[in-house]
Amino acid sequence: MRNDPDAGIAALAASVARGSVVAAAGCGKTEQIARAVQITKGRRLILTHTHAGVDVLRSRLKMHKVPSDKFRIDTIAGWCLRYAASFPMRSGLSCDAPKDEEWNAVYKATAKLIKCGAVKGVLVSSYSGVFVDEYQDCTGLQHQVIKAIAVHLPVCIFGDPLQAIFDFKGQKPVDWDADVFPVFSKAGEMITPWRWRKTENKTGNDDLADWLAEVRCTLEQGGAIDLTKRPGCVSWKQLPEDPRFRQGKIVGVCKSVMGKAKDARLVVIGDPVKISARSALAQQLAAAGFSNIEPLGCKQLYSFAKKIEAATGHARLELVLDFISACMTQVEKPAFMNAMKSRQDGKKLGTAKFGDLVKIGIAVAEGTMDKSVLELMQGFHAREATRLFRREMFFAMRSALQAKSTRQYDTLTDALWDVQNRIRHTGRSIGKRSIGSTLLVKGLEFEHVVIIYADNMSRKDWYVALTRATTSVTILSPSECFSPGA
Amino acid sequence: MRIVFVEIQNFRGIKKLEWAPASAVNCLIGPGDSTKTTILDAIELALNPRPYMLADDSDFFDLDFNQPIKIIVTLAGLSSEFRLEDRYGMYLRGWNAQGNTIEDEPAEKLEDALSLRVMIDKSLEARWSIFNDRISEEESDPPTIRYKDSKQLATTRLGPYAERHLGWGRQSVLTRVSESTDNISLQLAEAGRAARDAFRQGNQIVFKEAASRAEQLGKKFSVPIRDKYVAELDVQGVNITAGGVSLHDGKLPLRRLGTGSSRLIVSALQHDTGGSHIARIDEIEHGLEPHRIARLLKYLKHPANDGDKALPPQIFMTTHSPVVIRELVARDIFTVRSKAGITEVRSVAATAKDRDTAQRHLRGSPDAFLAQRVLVGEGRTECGLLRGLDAWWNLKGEDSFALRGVIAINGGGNTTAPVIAEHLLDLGYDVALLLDTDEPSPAVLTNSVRGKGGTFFEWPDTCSTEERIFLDVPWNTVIALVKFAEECEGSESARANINNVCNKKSLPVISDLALPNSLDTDDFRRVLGMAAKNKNRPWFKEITRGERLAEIIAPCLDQISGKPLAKTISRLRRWIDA
Repeated sequence: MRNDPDAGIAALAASVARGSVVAAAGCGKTEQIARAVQITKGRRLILTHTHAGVDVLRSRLKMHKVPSDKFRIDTIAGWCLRYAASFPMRSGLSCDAPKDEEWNAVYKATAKLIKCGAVKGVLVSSYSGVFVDEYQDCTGLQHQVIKAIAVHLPVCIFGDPLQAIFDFKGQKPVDWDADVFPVFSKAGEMITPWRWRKTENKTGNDDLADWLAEVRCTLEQGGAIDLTKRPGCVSWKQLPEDPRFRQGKIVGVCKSVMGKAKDARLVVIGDPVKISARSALAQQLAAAGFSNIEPLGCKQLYSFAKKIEAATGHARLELVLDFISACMTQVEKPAFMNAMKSRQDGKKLGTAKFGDLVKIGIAVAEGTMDKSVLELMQGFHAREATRLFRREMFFAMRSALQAKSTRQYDTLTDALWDVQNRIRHTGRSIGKRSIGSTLLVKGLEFEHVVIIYADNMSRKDWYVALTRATTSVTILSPSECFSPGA
Repeated sequence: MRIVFVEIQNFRGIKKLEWAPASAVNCLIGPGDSTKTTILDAIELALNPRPYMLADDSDFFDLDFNQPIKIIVTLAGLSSEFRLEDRYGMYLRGWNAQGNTIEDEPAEKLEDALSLRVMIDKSLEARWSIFNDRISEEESDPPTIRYKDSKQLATTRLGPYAERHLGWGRQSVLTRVSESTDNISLQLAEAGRAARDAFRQGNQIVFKEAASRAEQLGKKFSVPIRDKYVAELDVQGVNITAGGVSLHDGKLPLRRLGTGSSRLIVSALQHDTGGSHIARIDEIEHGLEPHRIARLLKYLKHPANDGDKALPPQIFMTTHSPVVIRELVARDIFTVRSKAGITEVRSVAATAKDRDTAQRHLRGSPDAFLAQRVLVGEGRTECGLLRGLDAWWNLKGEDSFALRGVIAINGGGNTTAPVIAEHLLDLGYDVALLLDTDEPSPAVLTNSVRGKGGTFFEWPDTCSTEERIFLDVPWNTVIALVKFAEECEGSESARANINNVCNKKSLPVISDLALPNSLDTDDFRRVLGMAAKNKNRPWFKEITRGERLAEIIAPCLDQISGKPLAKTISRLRRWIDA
């Protein structure tokens, strides 16, 4: 990179005792972390939030041929659990397989462990310093852990306050001005959006890069998004005021963008909170090959699992069919129920339409085997007419049922939890046509992005949504100029 | 790295032991069968994991193979490599050096420590692992020390015979010093080839007949023969290994050196290989003259010529030599006592009231620390008397003190004798005191000794040893004693001592040392006793004179068996024979 405005960032990060680097989206944060590790003396601990993040960092370090003994990469959660569980007496941690809110106890225990000095020897022997990536995604408790580490080791954190969107279920996110900067004072800032610049390998999109830099400035200052001065790669479609016409418009726009996108990846970013709203859209776009990106630990999925497991007889069949209907189109539950009834009465209504499925349906209603549930799900999935629009939910349930039948799990919920946990580690594959929220697409890249305006989208949501695109952005909003929420 | 705590269960003579060794020298002393060597063996076993180590039933305490052998050695002063989180960092424990206790997890005010355990159950297979309370006992595959790291922990051993180390065999110190063993292998392979060539060119007639006979027979049974049967040197059979290569001085192998010299060289090499480490030395005095012992000890404690490079090694050794004890300081020495399998290791320094006491006792009576039972004579007279009695009894065919594991030492006066007695009792020795009663020892001290099980031999009727003797022996022995005093101090001086006392007691003075029977009164006997104790020119206050004293009085003890002197001495003999 000639005239690299970020020259010195890596050196700074490698040498600072306690500091932070603010990096806008697409500015090559991963690259700078890799370089900093390369020039750093000794071994660095690199912490991030997700397993996907771990993989990205690891492959970047590999690309730079950084010897593997120069770093250790881990998720904050994994790292904390390992330490807190290894020294339970000092950390006070009592569980070793935390779920959901139990993780807060893990962070508290780890902060306690490090603060008391018990593992000082281990830390200073193992690492010459720490880098933390995506710091905006830290909870307050995770921040306490990093702060405690900083007493023993040099720590440099990387992140972007403007990308701080989170779903901590009541846990307060770290506040940059109140919590972060007083401890990790700003050592550098990266604002050159390399992701959209032309290089030897890609054509680049300077227009989008410049426009995004401008929008960032505006959003940082709390200004309004003005689409009247948009570059060619950004389009605007008006969202009808009348809710009755909205869905039709959205579907139309999505299909049109899809047509232009051809084989490239496309994501529709919808309501940041309401999964039901996104599911409804997915259902309508299912035929076009769209599917929802599901949050791991999706409440609806777990609720189905619990209910199906508890139910027997006819109720059990109803629930399984409800689940299948929630995942795919053209299930025709009423018709199927009629066919079942007819069969039970010794008649043959609907047998031609549903074939063997009716028999399996009876097995579900009369038995308790997981196998029959699995067969019914597969059977509907195999039908020509059906289209999956909640692939991840469907397959998660399928894997859990399979896992339960081959391995020892007490409940379907346990199996589900394990299956999802494995996905957390191996990462998920995102389809070419996806529908998601800003939280779910954070950190991902797509050629084309369609953003649907919602009142509850904050300026941070907008920044994350806009910066997901590499080629084109299409915005559906009631007006061309609008102020996002706080 | 150094060992801070050792726990042993059910290993050979030890049912149970817990011990916090010193960071530098740990010289173990104690009577035979006190399990000194077992302690060293246990430490060595724990720190030297090896595949396929099989124990046998006799390695179990009381041969009870149902009680598993368990040895846990806890190390502190860990290298930072050992503390890496993906090495052993997550298994660390905390060592509290003030309280000599282990906490299962590290803490800021504790020292980082790592415990290694070896377990042997009735399968007789030894299993090594890292140990702490957090690692479940049910864990089928507990964490272990990596092979490379276990080399860092490996103990060096200087046994009674050190020849093994003067070759390049497995685990020899020379192999450790040689940097790359790859080159050694290549050299050996080439030596093997050269040997084969040399053999081929040598006189083969001796083998020829047998070879051609084999060939003929082979043909007879249609064994295909490709070329021709000849005798060749099978290098594998001849076994040219690194162990066969040894250090020579010119053409003379160094193993022909005297035991002492080879041990000195090996020890120096071991400590030169660098890094702080843990060394085991059996019978350090073996083959060495006192001055060489002193030099070796000095070297072991401060091996580094190259300054601050390495900490002195942590040394575990045994000795039976007072020379070694005299050269060491109190904190280096530990007494080992074993009772019904419970082994106790006590620090000579830590059990003393203060450091000087311990040091004085070691310098003054190193022998005492090597016996099982100690007879403390109050002063030189008593000490000499006891030794003289030993000689006399020995002559009469009774067991010597040595045979009974007893040693007589000089307590150095009525205040110091009880102090050393108490110290020895604390260290686990059986102790008896022979005391005067004219100037009694402070009751605080004697009560304390009594409380700890010390035995007292005291003269009745408030008298000194000399007075007691003069009061109780027959008159002709009295005459013999005065004659001995005359020999030692001269007639004038001896008479002056006597008249001095007579004057004080307003008794008539004597004009010569003839001592007619008319003088045989209790009063005059007391005069003689006091004269013997004259402050300026005492008659018997020397160990050799005390010995002679015993020689003079011992033959008459049978005649005066009713007297307090004989009664006390026969009680003392019973203690010795107990």
